[in-house]
Order: sequence, then structure tokens, then C-alpha cells
Amino acid sequence: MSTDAVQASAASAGGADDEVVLDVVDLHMHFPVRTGLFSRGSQDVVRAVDGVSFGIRRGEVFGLVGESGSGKTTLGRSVLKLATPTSGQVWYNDRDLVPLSEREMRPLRRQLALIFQDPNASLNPAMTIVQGVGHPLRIHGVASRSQVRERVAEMLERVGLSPPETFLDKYPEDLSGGQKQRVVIARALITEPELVVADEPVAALDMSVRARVLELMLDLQRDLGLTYLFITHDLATARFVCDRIGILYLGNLVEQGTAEALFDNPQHPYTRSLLEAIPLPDPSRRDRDKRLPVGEMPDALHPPAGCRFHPRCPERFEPCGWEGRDLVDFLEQRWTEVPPETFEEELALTGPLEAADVSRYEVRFPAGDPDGLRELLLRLRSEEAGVVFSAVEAVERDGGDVLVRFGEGPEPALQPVEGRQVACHLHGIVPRRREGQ
Amino acid sequence: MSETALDVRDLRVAYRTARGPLWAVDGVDLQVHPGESLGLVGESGCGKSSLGRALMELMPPGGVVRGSARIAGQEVVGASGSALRHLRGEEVALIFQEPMSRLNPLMRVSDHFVEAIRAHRPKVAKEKARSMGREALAQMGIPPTRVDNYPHEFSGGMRQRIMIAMGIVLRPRLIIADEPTTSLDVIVEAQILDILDRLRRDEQMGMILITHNLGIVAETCDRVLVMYAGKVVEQGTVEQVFNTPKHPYTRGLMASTISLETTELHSIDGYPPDLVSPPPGCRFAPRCPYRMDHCTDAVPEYAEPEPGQLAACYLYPGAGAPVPDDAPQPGSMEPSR
Repeated sequence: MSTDAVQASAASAGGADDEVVLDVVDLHMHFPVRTGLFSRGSQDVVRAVDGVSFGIRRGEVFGLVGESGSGKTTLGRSVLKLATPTSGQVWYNDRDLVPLSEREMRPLRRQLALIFQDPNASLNPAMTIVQGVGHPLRIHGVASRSQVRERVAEMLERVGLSPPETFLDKYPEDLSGGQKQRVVIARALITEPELVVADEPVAALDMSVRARVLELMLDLQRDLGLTYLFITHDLATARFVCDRIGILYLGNLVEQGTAEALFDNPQHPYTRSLLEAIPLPDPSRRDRDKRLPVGEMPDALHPPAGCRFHPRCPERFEPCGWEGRDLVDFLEQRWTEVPPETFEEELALTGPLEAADVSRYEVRFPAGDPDGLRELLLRLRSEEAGVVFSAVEAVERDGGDVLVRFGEGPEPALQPVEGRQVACHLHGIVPRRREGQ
Repeated sequence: MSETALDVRDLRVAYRTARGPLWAVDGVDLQVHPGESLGLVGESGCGKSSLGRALMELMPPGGVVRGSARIAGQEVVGASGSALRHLRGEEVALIFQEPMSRLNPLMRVSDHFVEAIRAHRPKVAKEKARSMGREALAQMGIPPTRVDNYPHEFSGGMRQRIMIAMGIVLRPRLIIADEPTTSLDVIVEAQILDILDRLRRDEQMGMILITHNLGIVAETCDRVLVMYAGKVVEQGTVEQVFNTPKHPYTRGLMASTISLETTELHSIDGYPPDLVSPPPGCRFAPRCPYRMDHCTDAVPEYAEPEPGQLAACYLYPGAGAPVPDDAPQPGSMEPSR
């Protein structure tokens, strides 16, 4: 099939704009890990992707935006079944890919392409450009050797490596970073795919060539009728490239909607934080107000209770899911701010924090001076020293221990707010129901 | 004005290659004053990181440094190992992209401080060094309960905070930060930049911030140097350089930066030159949309189109050749797409 034929088929499909090409439903990707010496071989799971749903319409660019550790790369790979999801469905043109065997997947692979971030890692240095770009054609057995050369030349021309004859027999090391990424794109598109998953396709490139590669990707999308799943940490690029966007935090979508809605009027505190944190190339706005979240994204092995963003959230309040761990974090943070003597005094009351028994609903301090500690905690609570205390239901003596009890705080479900989906209690408390709960 | 924290004159850095020497930095002058933050921006291969390494004589094998770099009045180029060890820590803090590679995985964080402090101040008691470390860490937001942990027990952002705390514990006069936030996420990046900004203001430390990210420079620096192919092509205050960039490369770099307000994509045609045999005259000329015939005759000198703003470009009087009447006016056309 020539590229003209691809264009023709894309044009015929062009009318069906609302047709969903990819529909991801409640996708989970959990990785079992063995933890610690003392866990007696019990298995914990890293919940890299923990119940994500989104759909991509034909001809659309859907952006998955998240920081490192958000699960965006794992999600992209599991959509292509490069990793088999733990549960959930991936409907590609009305066929669920999840239960398919690798053999059943193979004919579909031609239609599903992947572009990686690092062109150096995705090109085989021992293959010439014609071998590397033509490789998928040979794998799928759809072209003879002479046809391959012709098709590769055609594709190189298309990605702006022209005249193609000067590139065909070169090796990746002979090319610049931008040229290599064009080769990677050419290889991804040589089988005339329908859906392209692009994982940080320009992050490794210098600014002055980034725009050219993005422009190429958008031109190809238009010309070949491609549908993109565009994975990035860079909101500025996402805003420019994507039609719709899902913001991913610790394996969950926290906000999902059109690029316009999310950027002009973000409704989740995390989305707002991401937007405020981006350094702007405009010195006149350097003193603008930034409400930065505290700390960093926690480990997906032990995600926070309730809303996973709550320990860092600048707009957190009582129902967000406050738990034992948050009290320990509060004390540690407080101790960076008080004079060293105060720290010593308070530490003497709490005892080493490692010795405290910390769980979702309580913290038990094996205190030497339980009355003193209880007094300290009650004082901090009455001073409203930290929002964590808003969810503290009781501070009580239990024998020689001090027990701090926490109340409920449900995990927020996605709910419609101003034309997009948001998972945040600020918009009304809608608890999320998970399987087995 | 008080003594400069950093004074660099005609600094040149070369690497040996099979095809001859590659001059990664080719004659750079710069000064950083106490409490001032200088941004050094450019794309990969422009020489900004080589410059940073040369400032502390942390050159890889085969690297050659010429010229002069004085930190708090003391010459770095050609200095002895012991003189350099004195400078690092006492006068200058070095902050790099990957903090883990600078921390000893087998040593507790507190012991890093004891070692670093006592290397410079042998008379400081261990306990005192420990509490100095604890204070510096608390200033960076690391809880005092965590100071005896090992480096791997901290996240990437925490490790960078630890590196900064170690760098500043002896109150040096200069911070050299080479892509300090490049491996961090945008929120943690903003946290770290806040910390650096606070240090500069509160402690009057001079800072040279090496980065490819124009946004970071616009938000945290007072002045900026733009490097291209081993040379500084433009410098000025951040307001001057960001609001009215003069050099065509700076203009191209600004235009190609994708920000939240980008509505149209621009890029600079072509690729940076091979520095083993750089092009004659202005090194940007082969890619320059404003190129004139005489641009490739000789290297342009610095013109000063605005007071304090320098641009090495023949579009401005003072670069070493008369500006033709029909010279294209910057601003009348944007760099090609």
C-alpha cells in the first residue's frame, strides 16, 4: 500500500470524527515486589497504574501528562501490551487487546507504533538507516528487499531527511540528535500505523530543533490520518500539541478534559501547581505568586490514603484522607523550622519516630512521658499547627502509650466540573469505589 | 562595589580529538558580584558545561584550560590540588545535575558533613560539625531526624537539598550550579530554585547558573550570558536580553522556546558547527536569517546596542565593520520557521 492509499483511507475515515479508536477502561498495572528482610517473603505491589480510563478519538492527539513516577510510561506501554495489564480493558477498534496472546497481537502491531524519548537508545547502532527503518517491514514480511529500500527512501523524504539517498546507508552515529529522532519517527510510521504512542518524543532534543520535530509529527498526523497518544512531563508542549489531556498523579488520572479547559481554568490543585511551577521565559513575571506543593511524589508502593495528592496539596482540607503517616511527616517538617532546643524537647516526648506504630487510622507512640506528649499534641491541635490535626479524632492515653486516632477520608472519584473530569473533594465529596471495597 | 566573587578573563577550554583540538570554550570573559546571579544559557555543545567544569578545574582527561578564572581573588587555572581543595567548600559550592554521584553511598549524611567541615576546619569538634550539618540541612527542609540516614534513603529532590546544604555549610562566596534541576520534576525544580534564590539574597552569595532552560534564567537570574559554539554571543540584564534580544541566535532561541503561551512553532535552521574546524567569522552566520556578506570575514567584536547589553553581531555599530544601510533590521523579521 502506498502512502497515497493511506491518505485515501484516512480521508474516508475523516468524517467519523467522534469514532473512538482506543478506549482504555479501568486499567491497572501492578508490579509485585519483594520487600525488606523482615517481610518474610510477603509480596507488596507497586500500583504503577491504578484504575485509569480514557478514550482517544480518531485523528486526535491525547496527552498523558505526569511527572516521573506518575505511571505515564507504564500506562503507554501497557496500552500497547508491551507489558500485560493486571486488569482492565484496552479496546482498540472494538477489540479488547488485554486477553490477546502475543501471536494474536502480532498482526495488530503494524497498526500500533511507539516512539521513544531517546533516539540513541531506540536505534540499533550496527544497522544502517535503511536496515533500521526497514526492519519492521521485514519482520511483518510485507516487502521485498528492493521494495524496502524504496519504501524507506519515501518515508525518509516524508520526515524531512532529504535527499534520502544521502541517509540510507549511513549509521545512526553519523546523524545529529534531531535527525536521529526523525529516523525513529520514520521507523515507527513505515508500517503505516493507525495509532502512535509517543513517549516524550522531543524531551531529549535541544530547544531549537524541538519545534521542528513536533511540527513534523503534527504534519504527519494530518497527512497520514494518525491518532496520537502523546506522553510528556512538559505541560507547555502538551498545551501546544494535544487536543485533550489527562493529568496523571501516582497512577491515577486527577483531571481530564480539553487542553483549553485544563490550561485556561485548571480545577485540580495538582494541575494548578504544575502550571504555576513552570518557569516562564518572562522576567516581568518572576515575582508572581506560586503556591508550590511541599515534598515530592511518594512511592507508588505505599500511596497515601484518600486523595493521593493530599500530603502535598496547597489546598488540602479536612476530608482529604489524613492518616498516621501524615502526623509523622508533620512533626519532622515542624522540626526543621523550630529552634534546635524545641526539637530536642519534643523528640524526647515522642521518642524516636521509628519506634511509633503508624497505620492508616492511628499512631501509637510508646512515650516515656505519655502525659507530656499528650499535652504537646493537644496543644498543637488547638493551635491548628497543621491541617493534619483537622482529621484527628482523639489523642488519648492507652496504658503507657499515646494513641492518636484519625477519621475517615475517602478517595475522590472523577466528577464532572466545568466541562472536564476532576477527582478532588473541593468540588463536592464523591467517594471512589474500587473493586473489593 | 565589593570584591567580585568570580572574575573570568579570556577563558579557553579544549579537548583533544583525533582530528585536532576542539575548543569548546573559546575566549570567555565574565564577572559575578556578591549577591548576584548570572545565568549562562545555551544548547548542548555550546560550551556552557565545559566552562563550568573549567572554573573548578574538574576537567576530564585530555582537557586543557587556558586564560584566567579568579574566585574571591584566587586564581583557579593551574592552581595546585591543595589550593583547589581549599577553594571548594571554603569559597565556592559546586552543585551538579546528579547529586547521587557526588555522595558516598556507604556514608551517613551526617558523616559527609563531618568529613567536609573538618577537611577545611580541622579544629572543629565532631559534635559541632554534626550540629552545623543539622542546621544546614534544616535550612534546606531536611528533618533533623533524618541526618543519620544514608543517601539512598532520600528522594532525588532531597539529595539535591543535601548537596546544597553541604555546599553552603561553610558559607562560601560563590555557588556554581550546573543544570542543578535538570533531572528533577517541575515542582521540585521550583522548590530548589527557591532555595538557591533565598541563599543568594540572604547570604549575599554570588551564583553562576548554567542551564539550557530560558525560563529558569528569566526567573532566577539578574544578568545572562548566551553562549553559542564556544563563544558568548550576547549578554545583558535578563530584562534586556529577554525583552529586546539583539543577537539573531538569542532571538532564534527565544522564538523556539515552547512556553505556555506558544501559539506558533519556530526553530533555527541548520545545526551547530563542528568546533574542530569552526566556520570563519561569526560562527552563527551559516544559520543566521540576517546574514550579510561580510559576516564570514572576521569574528565580530562586541557592539553595545544598549548600555550594558553586548552583542557580537555586525547588525550593530561597533562590531568591527560598518553597518550597511540596507542591513535587515532585527524585529522587522522573525527567524525562519
